Parts: sequence; C-alpha cells; structure tokens
Amino acid sequence: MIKFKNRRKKFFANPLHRQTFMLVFMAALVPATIVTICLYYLFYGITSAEVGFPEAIAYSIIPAARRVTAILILTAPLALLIILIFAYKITHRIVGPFDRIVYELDAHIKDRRSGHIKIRKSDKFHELVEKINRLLDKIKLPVD
Amino acid sequence: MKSKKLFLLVIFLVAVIGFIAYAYNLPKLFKFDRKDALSEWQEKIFRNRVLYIVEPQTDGGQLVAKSKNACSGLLYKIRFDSKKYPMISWKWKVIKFPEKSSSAGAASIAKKISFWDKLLVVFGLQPSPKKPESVPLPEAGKNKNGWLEKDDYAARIYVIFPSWIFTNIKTIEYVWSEDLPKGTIMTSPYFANIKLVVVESGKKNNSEWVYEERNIYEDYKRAFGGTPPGVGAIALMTDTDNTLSTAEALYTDIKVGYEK
Repeated sequence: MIKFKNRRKKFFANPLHRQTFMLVFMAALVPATIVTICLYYLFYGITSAEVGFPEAIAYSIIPAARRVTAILILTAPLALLIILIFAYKITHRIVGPFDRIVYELDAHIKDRRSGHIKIRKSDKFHELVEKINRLLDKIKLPVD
Repeated sequence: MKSKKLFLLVIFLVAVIGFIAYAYNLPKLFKFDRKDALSEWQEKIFRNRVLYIVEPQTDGGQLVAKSKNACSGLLYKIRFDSKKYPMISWKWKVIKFPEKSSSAGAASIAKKISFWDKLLVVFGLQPSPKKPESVPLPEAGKNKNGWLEKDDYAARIYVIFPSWIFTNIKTIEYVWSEDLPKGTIMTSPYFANIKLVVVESGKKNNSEWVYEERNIYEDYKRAFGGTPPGVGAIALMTDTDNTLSTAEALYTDIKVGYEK
C-alpha cells in the first residue's frame, strides 16, 4: 500500500504537473470521444435513413454497427493508453524544465549557485532559459 | 433593442415556415392516375427487383406489384404528427399470394400436428381442428418455427417512425396475410421494433378492391405501448424473397395524414 502511494507521488512531479496533465489529457480525450460518437451516429443514422426499410436496417446496418461498437470498445483502452502516454510525455517536457528554472532561479537568489541555467535538449522553454541566462549575465556584470 | 426585435421576428418567421413545411402537403393522396406517379417515391431494392407498374387508365389509376423471388419496396418520406393526423387509408387487391406451403415455416407447423391426429386420419376419423393460435408467434431476432423463411406478404403498407438513434426506429406494417387471422399483432422475426398488424386475411374476390382505414396513433399504442412519435415515412412492398415464389398485388388511393 505504501509502495503504491509512493509510486503515485512519483507519477506526478508536483500539483502543476497533475493539473497540466489533466488539461492535456482531457483536451485530447473529450474532442476525440465527441467526434467518434458523432461520426458513429451520423454515419449509421444517415445510412439508416437512406435505406428506409426497417428490415434492411435490422438485417444489415444494426449488425454492422454492433461489430463497429465491439471494435471500438476493444480498441478504446489502447487509444486511451496512447493518449495517456502522450499527455504524460508532453506535460513532463513542459513541467520538468519549468520546475528546473524555478529551482535554479531560487538557488541564484539565495546565492547557492552561479552560472547559467541548463535544461535538456528535448525540454521546452529553451528561448526563455536563454533570455534568463542573458539577464543573469547582465545582472552579474556590475557586481564583477 | 431593434436588433433584438429583429432577431425574435426572424425566429418567429422560421418557426412559421417550418410549421407550414411540416404540414403543407397533408393529407397526401396517391391515386396512381399519372404515368409518372412513382417519381415522388424512392425505390429500395434489397434482393432482385419487384416490378412496380403504374396503370393510370385502369380503375382510375392503380399500382401493380409483381414479385418473383424478389424483395424491393417503394418509400415515400413524409413527416407529420401521428396524434394530430392519425389516419391512413388505402385500397388493395391480392391477385396471388406467396407460396408459403413449401417454406420451412409451413413444414415446422406441419410437424406440430399431433400423433393422435395422424392416428385418427389413419382410421378415417376427423382430426381435431388445429387452432392457428397454437403456433407461437415470431420472436424478434430469432428464427423459431421458420418465421423468417415465411416473412413474405403479398401486400404490405409500412408506417415508419424514425428516431435520432437509428436503433430506435419503429415501424408498423399493415399486412394482408394468407393464413394469419385478421387482427393479429406480432413482432417481426427481423427486428423487435417492427410490429406486423394483419388487416386482411385469406383470399378475396380478385375483382373487388378492399378498402382499409387505420388509426396509426391507436395501432402504435396497441403494438408498442407508449406515446407514438411523429411519422417519418410510409412505404409499400410485395415480396417473395424468403419463400422464393411469386406474388402479385394492386394498390391504390393511399391517403395519409388526416383526421377522422
């Protein structure tokens, strides 16, 4: 139980990570679900209206719709997992450098650290870090 | 303020136009007295093509339907409130019924004749008459007693109640059956949302038209229960694809969307 709790804590670096993750995850999941449901009903609804005769709808369209539903239900967890992984990776690349910048700036303020702030190549905010580093250099000059 | 009034006026106009468009062509009468009378109907072919021919000169106009191992129907999309305009009427004649005796359904019914009845026949005594109700009516989606194989009728008129959710489409089919008793309401072996109402039974004089008038609203309540939704289409069909036989029927004076 304790192990599980620890893992959960590690999954999200901080509350901001969790919030951003939920935002990205929902932003991908909600439109995807709405579009799937709309397309499903539009396609089968229009086809049924076009066929007109209920026997034909029952005999050919409803079984096809049931098969599609079964495939959708089977593939939905996989799609969900893919969205989860991507949401996690994206948010990690945003929140990770953000945390690092805050941490490094804090260290600079408290004079525990000097020099440039460094982030990974794959991380976001390179431009921001570059500007902060230039600002740090500028602040440092009069002191020297 | 002005734009608000204009907006309300536009909404009112749209509602009025919508209402007029909804009920402008009611009641709708199909007399089949013009050569191009079928131009407003949509033909839907499911298995081979049933021959639908308009004969404008005969009996003031009629539609002849001839089917040979075929299943296709004519559909007319018309929207109206089934509570406000509940009536439908038509005239029909059946020249030839589909041959159901050779079908699996009839064979299964024959199997139901008891051993004692057969024994009575052997000894030259009259077996007890079999009640038609003793054969269970079809169950939706289940082909018990071969109902699917004998789901052919010489003539039938559909009233279709569409739905936003396509699986909720409901239909009443008024059929002329050769063997089922008049007044029978049963579920189609294809689909639970199709109810067949037997309005005519057995052979009639070929030279006379049989007039039918039904209250869609009441029939729906009897067949499905609950309040009927709006009607979305009517259709007619003569089919013989299940019995692989031939059938012929005539239709005329189909009138929908009126009050009694």
